[in-house]
Amino acid sequence: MDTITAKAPLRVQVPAQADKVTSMRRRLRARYPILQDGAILFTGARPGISRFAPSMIQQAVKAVRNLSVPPARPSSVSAHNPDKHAPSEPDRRIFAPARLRKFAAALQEHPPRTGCDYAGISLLEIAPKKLYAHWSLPDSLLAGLRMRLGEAYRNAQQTLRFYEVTNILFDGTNALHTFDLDIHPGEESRYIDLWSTDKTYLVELGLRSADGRFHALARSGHAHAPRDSAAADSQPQFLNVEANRLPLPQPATPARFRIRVHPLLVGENEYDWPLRDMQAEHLVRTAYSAFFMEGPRALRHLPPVVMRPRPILLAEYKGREERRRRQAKSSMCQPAQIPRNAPNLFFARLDIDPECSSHPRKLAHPPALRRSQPHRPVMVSGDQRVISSIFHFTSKSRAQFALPASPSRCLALPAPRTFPALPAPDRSRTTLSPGRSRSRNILETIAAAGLELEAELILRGRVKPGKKVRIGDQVIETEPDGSFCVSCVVIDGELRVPVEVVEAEMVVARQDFDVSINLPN
Amino acid sequence: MPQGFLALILHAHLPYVRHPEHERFLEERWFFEAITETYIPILRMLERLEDDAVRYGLLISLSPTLLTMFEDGLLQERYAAYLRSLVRLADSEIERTAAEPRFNALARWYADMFRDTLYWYEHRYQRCLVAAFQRIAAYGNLELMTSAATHGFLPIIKDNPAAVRAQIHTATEYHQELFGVPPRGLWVPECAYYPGLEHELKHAGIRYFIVDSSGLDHAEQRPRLGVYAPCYTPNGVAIFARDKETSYQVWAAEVGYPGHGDYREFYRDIGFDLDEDRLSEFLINGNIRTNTGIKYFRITRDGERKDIYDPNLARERAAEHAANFMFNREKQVEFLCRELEQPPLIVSPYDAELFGHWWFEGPLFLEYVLRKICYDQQTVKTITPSAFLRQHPEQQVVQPAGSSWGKDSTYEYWVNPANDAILRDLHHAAHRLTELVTRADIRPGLCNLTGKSENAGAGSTPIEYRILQQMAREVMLAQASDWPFIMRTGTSPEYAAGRVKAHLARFYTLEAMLVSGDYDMEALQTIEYLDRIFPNIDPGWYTSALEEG
Repeated sequence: MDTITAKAPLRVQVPAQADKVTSMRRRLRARYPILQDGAILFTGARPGISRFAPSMIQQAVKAVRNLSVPPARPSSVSAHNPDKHAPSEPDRRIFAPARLRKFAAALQEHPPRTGCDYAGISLLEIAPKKLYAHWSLPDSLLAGLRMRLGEAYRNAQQTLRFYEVTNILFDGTNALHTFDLDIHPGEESRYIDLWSTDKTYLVELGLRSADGRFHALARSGHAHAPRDSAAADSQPQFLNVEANRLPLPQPATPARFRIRVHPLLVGENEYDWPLRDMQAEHLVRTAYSAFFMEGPRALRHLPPVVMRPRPILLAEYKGREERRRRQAKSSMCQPAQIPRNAPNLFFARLDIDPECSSHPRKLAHPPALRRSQPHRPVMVSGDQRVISSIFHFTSKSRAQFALPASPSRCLALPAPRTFPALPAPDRSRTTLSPGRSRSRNILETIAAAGLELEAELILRGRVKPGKKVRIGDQVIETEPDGSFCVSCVVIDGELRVPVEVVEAEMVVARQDFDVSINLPN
Repeated sequence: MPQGFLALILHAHLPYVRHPEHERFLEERWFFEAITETYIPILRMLERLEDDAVRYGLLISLSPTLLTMFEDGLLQERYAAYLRSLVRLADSEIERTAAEPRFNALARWYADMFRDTLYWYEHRYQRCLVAAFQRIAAYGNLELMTSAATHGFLPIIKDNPAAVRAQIHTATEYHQELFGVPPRGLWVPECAYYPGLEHELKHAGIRYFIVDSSGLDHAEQRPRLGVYAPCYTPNGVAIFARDKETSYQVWAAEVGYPGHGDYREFYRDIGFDLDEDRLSEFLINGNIRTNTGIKYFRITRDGERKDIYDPNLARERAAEHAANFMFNREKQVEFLCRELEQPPLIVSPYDAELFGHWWFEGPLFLEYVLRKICYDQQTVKTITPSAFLRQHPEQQVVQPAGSSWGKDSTYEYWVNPANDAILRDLHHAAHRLTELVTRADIRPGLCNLTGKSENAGAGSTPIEYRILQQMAREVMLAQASDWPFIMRTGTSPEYAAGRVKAHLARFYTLEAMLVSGDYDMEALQTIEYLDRIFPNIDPGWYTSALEEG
């Protein structure tokens, strides 16, 4: 199964049988991490479904296709075959709380060793005039050392020797200052008070013989005791990090859906493939049940999209700006001072707190939209797009909607049922909240109106100028440069969206998007 | 054109408190209470702001442990059950207080609030708070950043650079895994900076981090604009320093806003006031009382009998304090403008849990602050650190001083006689893991599945890799700064010490398994299930080969 999951980073599931190393797989390993379950993580892509570099999808597909599948493993495994330890399906028995409790307690009662069998020391500055050292010196190691070092060290004192090495490369002899602290047998750590700040130290753990010789056993890293006052004035230096001028990348859309890309069916030379940059840019989940139960507010939680502005969206965007200027300043309890016939308002939320529900929500009539020339992408939320493209608000009441103004005009593609693979709408999956019986009537009303829209898939791509794109049975208009951006509405279930490039009535390339949309449980 | 900027930063973090070995566990309640009182209220506040097209800048740091818990199915299930039990408790309170109208009204208010929260959690967010933050961040006003993987106190593990690197890279990779984009900023746990940390941050692609004010005040070069402008470390990573004045106004126990008498009293909870038979669902192990979140009293002034909490009064007070906060920021900026050459930046980081959990009205206060700053004045503008750097990419270069946001800006709160016993064990465990990973020749981003299990020096098998992954999880969990902090505060030191001990015990159990080659799959599965953090953790970051290279 070649699966590309639309969750960033791009993740490609490799067939389990392809575990034997092929040259391609070796190359992949050299560049990409392999996950616990054997999937390959393509981290080179800009993550997020709306951000896939199209080449990455192609690369992933190509890479997986090129994996040669070795023969199946023999059923019996040798004694040294590591796969005998392959993880099995989680066993519910071993995850039972009682067993887990017993397991954890057993480990706590008989903890394995936590010490180490080597001499080591660590030094840490914890305040401008305070250091902390902890060390490890196993008795067995110490006894052996005393024997090896001879009589002079038989009764040698365990000692910490501190070196001040501020701004120097310490070679063992050039410390600016040293001092010794004797330590007691069994002692494992010590706090050291200093008399000055802004100094760098390191410490050696060792044995000091009666005649003053010091045998070092371990040396710590550097510890810099910070200054406790401001530094003197000096000529400041500046740095310009131009990379900080780049805008923040937007978070990817949460993936609650999967898009499987099928291998290219037509197009011999992939480098000259006529359908380029094809990607399923975004899928907008529209939880209509929530919409009709809660009113338009419910849909604002849909993932936002960046899209080419359409006049209707631009107008709304401007409307938000205008509304913001007019809105009540900062108090949540004050109703906004918005005239009833304010232009460019689809709806206005006047109160935002359950306690303030006495203030009515006012839904203004849609304005006559002025057509504007879009210059830049406008970020709008999914709910606004859906609302603006389907509904006109006709009432102040949040739960009353007119029938769709003109479905045929609003939907970019024919109704979903024109796709052969489209399943029939499953109304049993629509959930209702307890205590909200009114919504059932609304749903029935909507069902009577024939609304089946549940989600929207936006496809964006590019073909060679002059070629046509066909999705399903419909030919899509392309821009002069060959690019196109269409949206098609889909409902829950499995759906295959075929995208074809047509030249002189011949299909020269085709790519299928298998979309699987599932309502979260 | 604003004269100055305010960078509000919320650091959201909780230690990893998932305990599948118990049906109910006291410390899991920390997480549940924080969701109910802090995270969901903050999310809803942000959505209200977006709804009303308020322009604001806010930075929220979501620690990887918190994100892991948000994503954990078991905790999601348990939280939903916990919320339902809260609704039942509030309903029973409505009956119990039927004869007392003021208490009864409050009980109804709580019942509504819990139902609302349950509805938002189950239906709106579909239990996925990560996605909720993600969606809001996509509007562009909210920026998200990460923290160290398990909020390890980095100075105490700095002797092993691989351990620091693993904490940072695991965090950034997990952030990217969940949000689809790498974080630009990293909240250094406890603002504990040590010279040299910036190299690891830069290696992980981090552009900025936050330090305590003394980090800049005591830097090796005097910062020209003090803490009111970011600086760069010599390798180009930006540093933002905390402004003490704003912290004091909100944090200070005596004079800070949360201590006002009209706000809800945190310490009078019916979990401790009612009879045990009414709290059967809320007693841990049948006898341990805990907070329920239903609190009927307000702080009231000293010496007075506690008065009943009035949400409307508290709301008014929050608005008043927000206005005061804004006014003070205006005056602060006006003053700084006269002294400085460029628009000052006031950096105000807070623990997110202060808003809502400790200070119940905190999210309201924040909302009022953001609205008022947007609409009611033109002197100050809220901004995120990234946005500020975008506008002002040229800054002074300094070498900051080691510091933390603990007492006196030192590390003493996390390294002191109450908790230093764990340091040696943490050090040894990380060192041992580095040794094993280096020996297995595992590099970051590369699982070397060559199948040569008999030769540990030439790679590792999938099962060995899996054991190393779990060992990395255990080491990181033991390194969390929460444990020494709790040991120092003395709130539940046995739990903190027990957690460190448990993680190290699991670590050495796995180590023994790895070294002997005698793999106990059931034990491994059990440990993996007990500590299910960072599913795709990369133990390769523990290799010391990168230093040698």
